[in-house]
Amino acid sequence: MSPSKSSTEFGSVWLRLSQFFVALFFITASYYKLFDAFFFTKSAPLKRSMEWWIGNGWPLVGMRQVMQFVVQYDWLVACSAAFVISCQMTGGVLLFANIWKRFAGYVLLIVQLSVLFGVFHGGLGFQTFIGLSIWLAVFYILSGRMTQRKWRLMSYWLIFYGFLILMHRYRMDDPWPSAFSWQYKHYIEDVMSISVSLKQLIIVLGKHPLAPYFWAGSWWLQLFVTFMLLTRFRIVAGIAWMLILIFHEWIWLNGLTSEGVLWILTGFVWLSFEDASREKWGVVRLLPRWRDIAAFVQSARKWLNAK
Amino acid sequence: MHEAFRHAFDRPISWFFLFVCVAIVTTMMVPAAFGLQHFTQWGGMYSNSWCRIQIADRDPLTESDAQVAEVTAGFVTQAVWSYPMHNRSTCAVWGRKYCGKPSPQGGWTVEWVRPYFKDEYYMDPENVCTVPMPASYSSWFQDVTK
Repeated sequence: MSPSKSSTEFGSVWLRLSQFFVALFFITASYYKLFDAFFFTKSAPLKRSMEWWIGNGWPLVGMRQVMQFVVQYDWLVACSAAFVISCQMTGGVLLFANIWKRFAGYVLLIVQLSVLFGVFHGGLGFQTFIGLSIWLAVFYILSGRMTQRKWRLMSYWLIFYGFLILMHRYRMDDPWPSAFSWQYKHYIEDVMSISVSLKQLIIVLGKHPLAPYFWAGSWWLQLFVTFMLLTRFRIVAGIAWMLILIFHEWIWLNGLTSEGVLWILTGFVWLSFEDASREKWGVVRLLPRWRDIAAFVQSARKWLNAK
Repeated sequence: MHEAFRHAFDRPISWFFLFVCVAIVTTMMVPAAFGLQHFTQWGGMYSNSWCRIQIADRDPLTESDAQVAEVTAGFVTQAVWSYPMHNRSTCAVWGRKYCGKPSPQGGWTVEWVRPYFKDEYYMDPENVCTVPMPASYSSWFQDVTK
């Protein structure tokens, strides 16, 4: 394969920094589970989570049987918790040290896939959240030998999640000004922002007569930006997309928490790789050219006429 | 390495990436160090910082016949995103908004609130309704009139 078609190394400080943040995210995730959730404080023991997931019918069919068997024995639950913690820690440490990245990706892929199978029917929010971690795992598996074709597929995959989360938000009535009243009420009563001052500012702005339209308009803006990710303007669109994600996280801090942060980290990885790859590949086309579409339509017409 | 860093700032997008890095460190990784709110945003689970409060018409620790009920933060109304996570400070302040209000079940007034976080009633034996708090805390979570 020619050097212009593939690459073994993308020299970008930003790409390396995004990897550093992803690594620290997974290291902290395993630390939380060890000291806070699964073992020491046991504020959210895995057994309780598994029983909740099974009770709500979230696991995939095969996974449900496995989990139903596991929850019968405390030692098996403890082994499962240790497996999740050690996999996330191993993947995070290897990515932090920037060694055995492929192996780190495989380790993370295995553990995150098992989580996905466990919460598969938990809704689009869960599927995209876990899906992003799987995207990251696959990215680090491929990053050493990324080609334009693979990168195109990775971009489609991430943009698909971008649309999926919009569909999830659509079901929460985000696009309509009529949803403003209950969302604004919930925000005032239960939600905290990154600072109390920011929350006060949002509350004040929310009292403006046009606030419901701007509130709903952010969904339409995100839809437009997500579409633009498919075009050759995707770096600018990516910047706008990430700014929206960051503002979401800052405003809805304790409602979005690590889900919102994972979106930002994944966006950072994607955008920094996209930027680094431009030097080697130029713009990787994600949408077909108009002349390709016209040629396709013409050949389809010919085929239909021949019939 | 020096060359790589010099190269990192030779295009406008680099300043955006720098902003992202600063935002990640200050608002997501270690926000408490910068005086900002800190929950489980950096790698926490969706379920290990739920805040629950026990509300009562008088001290439930000493009065065995006190009227008692439990409320989990965010579960009362439909959540826009996930059910909100909390830390110890926000859980106590969130619980305080019930003080002096009719209980959700009706029939009695909430005079005592015990916040429950990470498997412990961490303010016992104090009552959140009477514990001194800065006046500005009342703006953290306001009760919107229905």
